[in-house]
Amino acid sequence: MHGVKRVKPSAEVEKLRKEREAIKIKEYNNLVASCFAKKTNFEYDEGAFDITTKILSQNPDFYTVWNFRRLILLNGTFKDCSLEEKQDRLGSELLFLQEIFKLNPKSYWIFNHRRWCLETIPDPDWHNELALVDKMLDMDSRNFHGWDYRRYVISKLTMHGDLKSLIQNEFDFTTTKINQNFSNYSAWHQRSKLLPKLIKEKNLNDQEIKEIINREFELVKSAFYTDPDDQSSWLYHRWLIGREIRHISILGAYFNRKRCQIILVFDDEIGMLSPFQVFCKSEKSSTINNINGDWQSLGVVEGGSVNIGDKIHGFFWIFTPSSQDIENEDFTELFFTVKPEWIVSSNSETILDKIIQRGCTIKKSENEKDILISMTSKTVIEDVSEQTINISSDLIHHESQETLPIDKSERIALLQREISTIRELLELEPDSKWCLQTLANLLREFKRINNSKEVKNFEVDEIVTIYDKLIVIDKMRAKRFEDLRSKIIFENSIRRFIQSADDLTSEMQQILSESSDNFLNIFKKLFCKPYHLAE
Amino acid sequence: MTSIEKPNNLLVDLHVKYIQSLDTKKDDLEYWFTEHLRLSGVYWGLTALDLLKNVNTLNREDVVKYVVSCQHDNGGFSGHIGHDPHLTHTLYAVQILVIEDALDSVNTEKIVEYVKSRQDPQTGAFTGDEWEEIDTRFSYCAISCLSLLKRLDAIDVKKAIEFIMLCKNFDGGFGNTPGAESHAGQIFCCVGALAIVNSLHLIDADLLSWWLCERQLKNGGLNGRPEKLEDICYSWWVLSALSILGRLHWINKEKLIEFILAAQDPESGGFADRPGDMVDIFHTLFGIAGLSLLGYPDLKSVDPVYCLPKYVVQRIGLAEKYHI
Repeated sequence: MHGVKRVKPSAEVEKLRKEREAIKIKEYNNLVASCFAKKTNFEYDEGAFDITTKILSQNPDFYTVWNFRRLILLNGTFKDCSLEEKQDRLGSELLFLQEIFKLNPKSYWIFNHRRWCLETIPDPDWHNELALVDKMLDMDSRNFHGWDYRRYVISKLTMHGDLKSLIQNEFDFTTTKINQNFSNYSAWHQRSKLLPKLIKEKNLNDQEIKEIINREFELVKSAFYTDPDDQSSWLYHRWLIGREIRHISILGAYFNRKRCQIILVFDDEIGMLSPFQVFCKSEKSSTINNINGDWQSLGVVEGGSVNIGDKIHGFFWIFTPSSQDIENEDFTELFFTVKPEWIVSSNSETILDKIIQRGCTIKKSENEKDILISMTSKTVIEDVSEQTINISSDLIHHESQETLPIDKSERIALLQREISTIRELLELEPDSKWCLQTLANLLREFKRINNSKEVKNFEVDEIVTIYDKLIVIDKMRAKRFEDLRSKIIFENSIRRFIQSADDLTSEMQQILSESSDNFLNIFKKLFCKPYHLAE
Repeated sequence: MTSIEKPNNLLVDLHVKYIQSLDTKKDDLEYWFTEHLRLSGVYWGLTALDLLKNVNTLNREDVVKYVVSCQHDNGGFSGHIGHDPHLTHTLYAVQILVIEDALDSVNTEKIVEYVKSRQDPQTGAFTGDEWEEIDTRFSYCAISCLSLLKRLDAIDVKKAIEFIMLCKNFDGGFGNTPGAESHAGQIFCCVGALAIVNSLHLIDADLLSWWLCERQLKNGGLNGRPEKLEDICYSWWVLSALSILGRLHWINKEKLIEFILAAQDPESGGFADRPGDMVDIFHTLFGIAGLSLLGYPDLKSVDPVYCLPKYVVQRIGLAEKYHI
């Protein structure tokens, strides 16, 4: 039971308790029995109502009794009563709820019944409800029932009145709560919902929006300067900075004739949720057949070493058909399909928004010479699997900068400003894990967005050093930081390769022609040279 | 006065005895006050026993008979005989029947109808019962239930997903309704539901897993929201979500195992919300299920999406759709 200390009473105390409880049990069970008897017989009278009062005062989680109580009011009490009587009756119902709420501030059923009362009462006083919820959140500023109820009351008030003043009002309410206690995560959360609405509603120009956002940066800065260990403000800061949402695309798709393998190169690391589909057309018939086989990724594991054969994450995905599927298969065309719901991006800010389909024709004569055939986006067969569920992308990402009107150079300036803010704090708090990981995040984003030649390896070195430190400081989450460190190292080397390749196909061709027995080993050599920090 | 004993190994026999004893506590007022949780109690107890390799402790015939007696004409199940039907209890009933391999003892088509009737065609949300409370918990109940019955075709899955996505927040987590704060329990529901309908790609996996692993406190326990107290049930809600997202290693397993084991009652069995508190069957299941996910020895493996023993999920032919 939540928060009830375990005590082992003596046998005698236990005996006394049971004797006392025996009487209560009998009384309670009699009440429940008569309640259910009336319920079964549809007796919606005042006697039944009183019984529900007695039961619910003791046990407000008895949902069936709440249901019955509402049925009594609807089918009995309200049958032949005036609006005034109904108003009075539900008014006392609200008072009753207030009483038992004091004993059980976290019961879902009490809040459900309260909502029902207010939706049923002829003239609901929503302002009174707002005053009540203010009190509730004064008593416990994190009670999520309280915050839920507040949003509900606000939505009702909005329906009846002035929308504009309320968003500002609610925004100011979160400011008050945050100023009372910077660690009020519920208030920061609420703010993340209100800020975009506020900007939209006020119809501000770009300059005004920037001013509002800058005031947010000031607020969050004073919060983490006050308590650098409090995660609330840091998580809000992460959101405020936002991330560039990028679309994943495929850099190249190749068919390696010698090994009968398909190699896909993505511009970001992706994980596979469902195997990508491979099909072929054979010489004999025009039918298209599914080819079974195994997908392997080139991904990254602890310490930056490459991980082969795992289905976790990778820039490169290699398909090897099961031997029985290709033996005696004289196919002339080859296709593959990748759907958005089959992949998950390892970097949260990237998404695949459309189906990728590519294919190639295989000519027998060019057999030995042409090891690598580039697969281009040609017309591929119709979908053979279940229908794709397309979810609008604004339901997927919730980034502040969607409302922030800044271009790339302004974003770079913003990142630079925040990087120096965090560096200053880090001088005062050299071991703050939140400070350190925020800096690492900012540097990573800065490196990505600022893709120019000046941004050399040193950022990566610095990021790696930060993660090394975090692994020591935050032992509970050391594995996460090891993962992040590996990722940045691997990503950096692979991006360097992709960027330096003038022609990816010929570069791939070269790798393959150099390859002896183990094709994967070549990749390993190329992309994952042991990483050394700059001296 | 003795200091509170903190066990450091799993007290299997005591837990089996504790679960067995639950229906004999009729001289406790609490037994009667929690009558509306009787059916869920059977699910928590039976699943815990199965993970402890003691599923036969409860008489199968009695269990099935009891579950059947909780079904109503509209197809839904209630928390106890004669109580009102509700979507959460309907899922508990189906979970119990799947464990006991006894789905044929009820009218499953009626269940499908009931679950279907709980979806709001406009928003895709699910209501708990005819009094129309909306919550992503109910989205999970509906999706999990229909998936176990292999009848997901009965509802509008796309709409259901869209509603869940409306509940997503700035931290990558999910709340109970659109606008509500992220909470580990709701995150389990939303991640689990999205896993079942093959939509894990909609989750901000790195961001959410970061938030989830920050739930671990110095004592090894996990809380459900920032700056709140640790609680054994979060070792399930947080762990299952991390496991589905393939990042279970982002928390410190040893410290968490230590914390869960310390929450056992070394005299009478069962787990409490945290060391030193009174035990209950709810926390007992989530303590054991958490240990199972953490790979603790001598326990059957638990499925992080369905919160059922893995072999049960495999037996009915449902594929694993997670560990990305």
